[in-house]
Amino acid sequence: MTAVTDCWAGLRRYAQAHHLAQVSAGYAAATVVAVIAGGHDFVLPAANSRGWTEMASTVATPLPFAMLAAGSLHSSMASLEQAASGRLARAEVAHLAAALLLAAALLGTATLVTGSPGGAAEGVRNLLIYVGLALISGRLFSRSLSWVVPVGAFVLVDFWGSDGVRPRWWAWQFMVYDSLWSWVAAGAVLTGGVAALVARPAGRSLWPPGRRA
Amino acid sequence: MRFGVFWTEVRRSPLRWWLPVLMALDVAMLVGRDTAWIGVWPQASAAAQLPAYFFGLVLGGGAAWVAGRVHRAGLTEQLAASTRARWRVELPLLASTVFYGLAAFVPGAVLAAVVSTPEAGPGFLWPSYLALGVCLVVLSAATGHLAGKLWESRFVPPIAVAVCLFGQTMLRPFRFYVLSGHPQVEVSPAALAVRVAFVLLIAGFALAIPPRAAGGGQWARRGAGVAGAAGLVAVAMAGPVQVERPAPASALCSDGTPQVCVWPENRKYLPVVSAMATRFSSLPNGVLTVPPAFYEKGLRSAAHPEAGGDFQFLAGELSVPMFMASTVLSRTLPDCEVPGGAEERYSQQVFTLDAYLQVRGLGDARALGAGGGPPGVDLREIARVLGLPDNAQAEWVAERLAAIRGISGDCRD
Amino acid sequence: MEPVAKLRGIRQGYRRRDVIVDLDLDIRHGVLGLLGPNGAGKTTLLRTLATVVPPKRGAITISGVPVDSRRATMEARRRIGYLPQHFGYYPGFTVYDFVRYSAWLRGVPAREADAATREAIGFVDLTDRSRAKLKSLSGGMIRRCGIASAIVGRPQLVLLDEPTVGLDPAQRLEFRSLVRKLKDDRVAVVLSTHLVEDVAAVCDDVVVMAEGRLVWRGDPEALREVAAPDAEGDSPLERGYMSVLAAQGAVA
Repeated sequence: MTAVTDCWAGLRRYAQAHHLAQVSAGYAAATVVAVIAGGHDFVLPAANSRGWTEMASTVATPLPFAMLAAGSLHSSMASLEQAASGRLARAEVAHLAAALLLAAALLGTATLVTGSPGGAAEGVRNLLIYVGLALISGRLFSRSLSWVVPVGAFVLVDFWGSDGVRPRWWAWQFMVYDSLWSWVAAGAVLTGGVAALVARPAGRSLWPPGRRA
Repeated sequence: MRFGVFWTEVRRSPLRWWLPVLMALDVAMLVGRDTAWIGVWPQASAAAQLPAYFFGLVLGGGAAWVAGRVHRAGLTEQLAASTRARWRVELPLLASTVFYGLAAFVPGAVLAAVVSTPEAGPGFLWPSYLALGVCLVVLSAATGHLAGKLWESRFVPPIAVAVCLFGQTMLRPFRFYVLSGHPQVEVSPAALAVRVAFVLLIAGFALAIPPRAAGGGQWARRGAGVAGAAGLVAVAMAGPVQVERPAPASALCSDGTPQVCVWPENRKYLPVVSAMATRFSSLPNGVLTVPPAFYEKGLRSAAHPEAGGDFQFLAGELSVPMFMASTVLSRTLPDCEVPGGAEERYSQQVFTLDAYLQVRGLGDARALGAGGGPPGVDLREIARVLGLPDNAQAEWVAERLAAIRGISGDCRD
Repeated sequence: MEPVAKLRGIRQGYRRRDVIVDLDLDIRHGVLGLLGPNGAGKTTLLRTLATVVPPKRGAITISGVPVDSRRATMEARRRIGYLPQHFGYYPGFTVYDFVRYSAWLRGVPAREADAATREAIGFVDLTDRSRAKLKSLSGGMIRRCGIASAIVGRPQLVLLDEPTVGLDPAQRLEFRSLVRKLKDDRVAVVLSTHLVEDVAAVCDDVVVMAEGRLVWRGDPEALREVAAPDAEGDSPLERGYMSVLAAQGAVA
C-alpha cells in the first residue's frame, strides 16, 4: 500500500467514524436554506415595544452550519477516542478548521447569490460566533449537544437583543458588517470555543459529571 | 397503573433538569418585554402564548432525547416484542414531555391573567390563543419524539425541531404562533381546528410509527410522510391564523368632548386617550379643527371617509398621538396641494407641526419614538413652545399654519 | 523491577463525591484481576489509569514517566490500550478499519500501522474475517475486535473493563486464552470483572475494591485461603472474595 492511498484510507476511516457524509448532506441542506433565505428578513417575537423584530436572515442561517461543524467532532468511536494520543487532538483542530472554512465558503456564496456582499460578511461573522458557542456547548454538555448554547444565544439575541431601533452592545449578530466591535467579539468567542476544544484532555464534559464527550 | 408508568417517565425524564430553565424563560419572556399587553385580555393571551415558540426548541430536543434513549439503551427489541400496542408503550414517554411543556407554559398564562385582571376589567384570557400555545407545545414535543425515533443520534433531532420552528418564520401560512393579539383580530376557528388536527396527526405518528432501529416499517413511515405533507397543505389552505373581528355592537366611549371610542378590550386606555383628545381640543382661538370624536381602528366601517385615520394601539398608547395628530392636521389643512419645488419647505413645516401635536397629545416626547421624530424637526424649539402658556402655543400654531398655507396657496380653511 | 504503572494517593470522583479514596497501586507485568461489587470504583480506576479522567489528587506514573502534563498524558496514552465496557463503533467499518483506526488513535507510526493491525487481528484470530463489516459480526467477535483495538501497537499496559460480559462459555474460554497470550508477551494487563472464574483462570494477582478503596491484594491462591468456613459462594475463590467483602462490611 502506498503512502498516498494509506493516507486516503485514513481520511476515509476518520470521515466514516465522524459521519461526514451525513454532515455533508446537512451542509447541502443548510446551503439551500441560506440561498432561499438570503434576500429575506425574518420577523420573530421580541421584547421591544413592537413585540417583534425584523432581522436579516444571516442572523439565523449560520446556525445549522455551526451546529454541524461543531457537532461533527462527535464520533461513533467516542468511547475509544477518550484515550487517544495527541494525534486525534491535532486531527480535530484540522477537522474544525476545514469544516469552518467550508461552512464559511458555502454560507458566504449562498448569501451572495440572493443577498448582498455585506450580508455575506455578516453571515460569516455570525458563523464564527455560533461555532465558538457550539464548541463551548460541546465542552459543557457533550459534543452531541453542541446545539444547546448556540440556540440559546439565538433566542437571547432575538428576543432581547434590540430596543426596536438599535442592537444592544452584546447583540453582535445584529450589528452591521463594518462594526469592528462585532468582529472582535466574534474572534473572541471563536477563540474561546477553540480553547474549550483543545485546552482540556478530551473525554470529560463539565456537566453532567463523567459524561463522555 | 397507567398513571404509574406516566409518573415514572415524568420522574426520569431529562427535562426535569430543564423545567426551571423553561419556566424561567417563560416568565422572563413575559415580564422582560414591553408590558403594553398587561390589562388587555387578547394581548395578554397572545403574550402568554408566545414563549412556547422558544421553549419548544428545548422541549423538542428533550423529546428526541427521551425517545432516542429507549433505542440507544437497546430496548428496541423488547418494545417490539411487547404484548401492548406500540402507541400504548410510547404514550407515557410523549405524555411526560408534554407534561413538562405544559408545566412551563401554565405559569406564564397564570401570571398573565393575574397581572392583567386589575386593569383589564371583565373578561379573561382568550382560550383560542392559549390553544395555539398548547398546540405549539404538543407539536414541538411530538416532532422531537418522532425525530428521536427516526434518528438515533442525539444531534439530528434537535436540528429537525429547530427547522420545524424556524421554518415557520419564513413560511407564514404554516405559522402556529401569533406575535400580538389586537382586539381587532381573533384566531380563526378554522385555522385553529386544522392546526389542532395536524398536531394530533403528528402526535399519532410519533406514537405509532416504528423506529428505524427496529427495522421494517418503511411503508408506515412513507405513508406518514405523505399524510404529514397533506396535513401541511391543509394548514396552509386553512387561511391565516388571525382574522378580523366584527366591530362590537357598542363601543366603549368617553363622555367628554371630543369623544373617544375604543374597543371594550382596550378599556384601560380610555382615560389616557381621552386626556390626549382634550389636550388637542384645548388650544384656544380655534386654531385647530378637532373632530367631534376619535375612533379606534375597526370600530367604524372601513368605507367611512375618515376611517383611514382611526388610531391604533401599536405599542400601547404611544402610537395614538401620531394617528390623532394626523387626523387633526388633515381636518385643519384639508386638500392641500404642494406646488412643485416647495415640497421640502412644506414638509418641514408640516413635520414640525405634526411633531408638536404628537408631543402635546401624549404629554411627553416619547410620542416621537426612539428615533426622535421626523427629520429636520427642531425638538428643542418644540420643547420651548410646549413650555409656553396655551395662548402663546395657539399663536405659534397659527403662525405655522399660515406658513403652510403660504407655501400651498390652495389649502382650504 | 520498575512497575509498568504506579498510582500514589489517588483520589478520584465527581464534584464532592469521591469514588476512589487514597489509592496506592503498583501494576507489573502479568494479569491483575480487579474484583469488586458494583460501585466499588473499578471502572473509575481504569478510566483514571487510561488517563481519560485526571485524578482529583495523587500521582500516576506510566513506565516510569509521571503523567503530570498534557504532553506526558499524550505520551502515556501511546503505551496504554484501553477497552471500555461499552465501546462504540461505526457499524460500517470492517474489522481491519476498526483496528486500524484504533492504531491511528493510539499514535502507532504510519509505517508500522498496517503490520500492527494485522498482528492484532491475528492475535484475536479474526484474520479470515478482517474484511467483514462489524455490523455483520456476533457479539463475541465484536468483543474480540475490541481486544484487538486495545492491543494494537503492543501497548505496555492493557486495561480491559468487564470484557467477558455477554460472552458465551466458549467465547469466554477463547478470551482467557487471549489474555494468557498477552501475559506471555510480557504485557501488563488489568482485568476488571465480576466473574471470579476469570480471575482464577488467568490472573497472577488480584485486587479487591470496595467503596473506592483497595481492601485486599494477593494472588488467587491467597484469596482462596481467606475464605471463611461459613462464607457464601460456589467455589473456594468465590468464598474467599465474599469473605473479604464481608470483612469490609460490603455485603450483608
